Amino acid sequence: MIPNHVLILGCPKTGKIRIADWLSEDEKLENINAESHSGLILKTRLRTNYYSTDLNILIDEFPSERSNINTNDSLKFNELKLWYEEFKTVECKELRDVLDGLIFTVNLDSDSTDYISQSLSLISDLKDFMKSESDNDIFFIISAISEQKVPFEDVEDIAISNGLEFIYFNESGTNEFKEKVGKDRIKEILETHEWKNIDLGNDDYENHKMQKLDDMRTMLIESEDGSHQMDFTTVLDKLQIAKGKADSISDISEREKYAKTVIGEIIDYI
Amino acid sequence: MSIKFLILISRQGKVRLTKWYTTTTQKTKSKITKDLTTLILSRRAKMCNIVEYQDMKIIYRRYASLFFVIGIDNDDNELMGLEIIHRYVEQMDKAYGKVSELDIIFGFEKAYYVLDELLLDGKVQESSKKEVLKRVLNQDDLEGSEEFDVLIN
Repeated sequence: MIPNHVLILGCPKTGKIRIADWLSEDEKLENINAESHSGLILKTRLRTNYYSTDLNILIDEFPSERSNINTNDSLKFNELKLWYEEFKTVECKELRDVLDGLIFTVNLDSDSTDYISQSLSLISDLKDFMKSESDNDIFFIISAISEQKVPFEDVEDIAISNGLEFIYFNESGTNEFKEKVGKDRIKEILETHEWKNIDLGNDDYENHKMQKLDDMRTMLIESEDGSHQMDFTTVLDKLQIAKGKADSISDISEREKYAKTVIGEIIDYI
Repeated sequence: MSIKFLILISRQGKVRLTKWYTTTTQKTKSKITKDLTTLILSRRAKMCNIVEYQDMKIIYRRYASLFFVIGIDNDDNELMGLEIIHRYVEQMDKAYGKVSELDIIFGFEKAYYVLDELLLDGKVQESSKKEVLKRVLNQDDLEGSEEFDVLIN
């Protein structure tokens, strides 16, 4: 089955691996390069009551080297702009075409509101660009983490004003309105996304039809033991009946025609 | 009390179901849907559920990841609108058995059955929950029966 692709993008220490691990219950990322998390791919399978699909979770990071981990916000934003420019090039068209969703990650402890505001504006531009480029249905999520639980309403407002959905990854379960929040909401978005390639698992339906097929294949003339082969006496009986019928036909040409038909039928049975 | 349209929008801004009870051009439908998606998704959970839009009132209510949006006349009762939305959700919940967004995506015909039994020409035609559910179940039975296979083949 052709897999679907989701890209997780963000600075170092913004929870990209945590999201990937959360989305794939069985598989875990191994052999993670300490230098950079760019280029990591986690292959997993998404299963719901209605369908299942293969999912490739791609991870990309800026800056591309982790040695610059403590860069200030303006440097981080410049790196993101470079990534954005590169992502918009013709060389990346193939990647853009296969993407079904993008999760942009931020860290509420280390990222300033200014940086988040600028970044989300850029991601919003990217969303518009990708939507104008193709009719593909792509989801965009802004995911945030922090060590301690912190207020995130300001960042959520920035995301909403940019037409993006904000999710605070530290949360899970449902809120007072019975809405899924946090990591559970990410899973919900993925489950309700209209993937290009899904396996509807219509096995039950097909099995049901296949069972019917056997009945339909049953020979109309069947012996008592279930076999549809004629024995010698049945053939003789049939010939005798045909002979009697042929005797009653006065016209010779009609009689020959009838005899040929009967012989043809018997040959078919044998 | 007459409903002009009903739209189901997901939190990601995807339209899951639409029903128009007034004659509207495709262009206008697209414009209204796009405007309302932007308008409603940008509102916080604790904001008022009633918004004025063009020459009508928009009433919306959020259930988990879905927004149920209806448009009514300015002189219609908005609380009645909220009640109708709630009644629709309750009946879907019964018809599907704990309804979720995914159920509506993969079993949208049932969502339309329930809606068509509940509303006709934008007006409530059947207020009995039992009656609506009974008719929807009858349709389900018919769909699953061998006779139906024969009829459509």
